[in-house]
Amino acid sequence: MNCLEFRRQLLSTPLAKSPVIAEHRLVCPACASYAARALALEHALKNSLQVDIPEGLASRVLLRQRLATRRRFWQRGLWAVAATVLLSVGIAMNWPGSSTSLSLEESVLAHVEHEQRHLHAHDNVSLEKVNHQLQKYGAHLVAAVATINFASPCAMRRAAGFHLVFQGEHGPVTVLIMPGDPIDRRQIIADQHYRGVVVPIQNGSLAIVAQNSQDLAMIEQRLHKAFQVTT
Amino acid sequence: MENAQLTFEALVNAYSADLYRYAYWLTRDKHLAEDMVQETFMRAWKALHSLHDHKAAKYWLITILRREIARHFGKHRHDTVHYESDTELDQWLEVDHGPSAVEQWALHRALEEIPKDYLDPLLLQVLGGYSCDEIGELLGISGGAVMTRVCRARQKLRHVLEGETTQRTKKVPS
Repeated sequence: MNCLEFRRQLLSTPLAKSPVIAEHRLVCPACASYAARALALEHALKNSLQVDIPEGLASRVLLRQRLATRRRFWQRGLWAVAATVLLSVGIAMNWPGSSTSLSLEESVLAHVEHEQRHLHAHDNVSLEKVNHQLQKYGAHLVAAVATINFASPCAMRRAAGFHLVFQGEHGPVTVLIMPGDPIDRRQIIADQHYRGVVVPIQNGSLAIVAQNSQDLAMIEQRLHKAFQVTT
Repeated sequence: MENAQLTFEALVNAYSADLYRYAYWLTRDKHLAEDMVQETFMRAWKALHSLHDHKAAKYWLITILRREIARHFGKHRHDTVHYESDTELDQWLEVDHGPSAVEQWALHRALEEIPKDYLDPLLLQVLGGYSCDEIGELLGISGGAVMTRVCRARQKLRHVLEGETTQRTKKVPS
């Protein structure tokens, strides 16, 4: 093995152990030094590639899979029940249950948890752009509530809805607009990490979720004045 | 069903970190990398019945992830690759990484200069632990071509880190 072959081998597979490599290193001090630097680089490269993993990544993957599985199971179950009823009774009925096995509270908190990456967004979306997108939900913000870090249509428990993240004074505040998921009165929701409220709006509900109570109160108060449903 | 759930959980716990790192270096975007990992596992869950050899699970997941990334960039052809901002250096230096912190940072930046065609096999070799032939199979190229690409990737890293001038003045004995 000559020096060029030795170095090519080191560049392509630096950690490969071969007697020919070991032998050449013993007889060629220049290549021995080259090999030492190559191995140091390999060590540093390995360390550099080990970027930090987002906290809770595996849990979020598993949560999403479980939610998808439960939803599919429920939908299949619902179809089976509906088919049985239609066949045996011969009448159509308006099934009173929900289309998901999660309660409204669970679905809101799971949504925020599952999409928590949006809490770190800083898109600074304009009010005009948000209002343009809100048109299709018949909703409108008549005044700025706070800096809008994220705004996008999103699948909610019952129907397509809208996901917003405002910048609170102490952290992000999530707002979910959920058409087709009406409630009778304001509900308080909470888990270990988040607290929030779900309030009734025309033809649906609106959830506000934050980690800080002051931010939650501030955004709720401002939304109460600024959020309007036009249809 | 219960066995499938246990298998899936084991796969997520064993490989989500490796898949995330691979996706991160290919996309250079931590949010997108997480999305790609999420999509990969959702597809893996739906196709779990097709995984017959559990020893090949990581390879199978990487194949799905590569397709997801290709699909994403196919749909978003006009998207520019997002690089983390320079403020990341400040954040990096705020933490005590020991005496090699600055060198590690230089390496981190040097990695961003390697063309994707060279970086991809290098990632599969260093992060995935695959041989050149296995990588060749994944990428649809020969093992020899993989060797050439990883050589060039490392050469590029050395040039960036050591400076091309130094490299050129060193004569390799034949």
